[in-house]
Amino acid sequence: MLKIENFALCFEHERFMLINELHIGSGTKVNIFGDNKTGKSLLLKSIHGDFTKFEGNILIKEKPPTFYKKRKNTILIENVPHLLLNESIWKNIVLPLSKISSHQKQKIMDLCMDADLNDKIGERVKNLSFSSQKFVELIRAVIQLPYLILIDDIDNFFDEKSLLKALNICDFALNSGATLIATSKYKLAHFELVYKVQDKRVVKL
Amino acid sequence: MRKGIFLQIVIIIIILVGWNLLHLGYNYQKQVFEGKISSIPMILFSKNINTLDSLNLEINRFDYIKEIKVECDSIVAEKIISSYGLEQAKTILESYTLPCIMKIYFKGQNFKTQQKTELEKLISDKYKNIISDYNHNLWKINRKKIELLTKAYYAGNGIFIVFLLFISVFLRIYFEMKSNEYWKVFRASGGKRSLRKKQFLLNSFWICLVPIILNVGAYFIITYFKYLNIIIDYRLFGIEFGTLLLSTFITRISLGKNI
Repeated sequence: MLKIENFALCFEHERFMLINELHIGSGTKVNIFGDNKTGKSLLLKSIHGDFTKFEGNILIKEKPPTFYKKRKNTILIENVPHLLLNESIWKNIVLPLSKISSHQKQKIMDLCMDADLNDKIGERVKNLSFSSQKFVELIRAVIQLPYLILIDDIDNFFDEKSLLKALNICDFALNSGATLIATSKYKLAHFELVYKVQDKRVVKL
Repeated sequence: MRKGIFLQIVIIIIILVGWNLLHLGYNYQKQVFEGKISSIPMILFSKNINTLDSLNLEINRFDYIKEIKVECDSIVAEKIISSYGLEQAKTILESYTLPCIMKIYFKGQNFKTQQKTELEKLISDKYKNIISDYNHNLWKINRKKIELLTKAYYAGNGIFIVFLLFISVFLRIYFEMKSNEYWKVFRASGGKRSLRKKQFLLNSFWICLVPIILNVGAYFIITYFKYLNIIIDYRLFGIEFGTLLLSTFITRISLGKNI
């Protein structure tokens, strides 16, 4: 699914976030943790195709991220919520979908139930807590069954209990072949592959 | 978003109605002035009916001639007798040889300075024995009025083009910028990146076509049921449509990478 080779980020002649080789298969949960300003967010942006000034190669299903410029097959959930705050939860979830099948409708309702949002589905997103807003973004990402779900600083908005719920929601996409890559400050449980950013290198634990 | 499109369509319809009223007003007033020119005949006198017939043959093919009436001396005498009640002077009048008269009525829209000069030159060069009488002053006044009216009409069209461009470009950019946040979220959420471009084209289609179709339709119905006798050249609707297309083009360039 994802191949990263000889990857490095450069800033003012300083190279960091060095990855010699990283291969991640489908349906895998990956956690990359490390201190602030180690380049975790830039790595996710590079995979997503929003940041291109890096060294090395990134291939998603054997194609570079720029190949998916017109129709993104990766979804990046950043710290800043990307939501229509004055619209309902439902409207925000179905926003990128051109058509919604009855199966998708049912699945959205199930996922909302997992996130304890089922009784608030018509409520405006601005009235929700930060954590619930992130659940809305997560459900919206999962329902599209992308190749990759990228979550930046997941521990910023999910505590341990919420994280379990979030991973449970992600399982829907993961079972269909998606891959989850989440960054955090600390090592998180329940992830199959864990990488640590240590001395500017990404090391597998 | 939809409210914005609807509002833009309504505003453009109102401007186009105003623009079409300008066309109608111009055509109506021009017809009045041209009608005045048409109503003034040029009267030509000649003792020889053959001279007038020859002139008639020569000029009746011109596109600015509406009607030519030739009256010979006996008819003229009869008309004078019946018009002025000169029954007692009938024998006296019949003893005189009265000149033949030719009355030329012009099509006001075609009888311009060039045509008038041509006709006058023709008469003075080839038909020297013909005496002409024409109200040059009235013709001049009406032609001047038509000239001024046409200048004002062109200026009015220019103002409408600039006004329509300004309003439609401004409104379009305003509503597109207002929807920027929506599209930002839409793209970040994984929505199809090209959809905004498609939506812009679709909105342009509605904004350009709906007001024109409604205006042309309304004009067609009004003229078809004869509520209005003034004709608007259909090409003018083309200019209006072209202006709307140009505004879409300017908006697209102005928005650049925002779309």
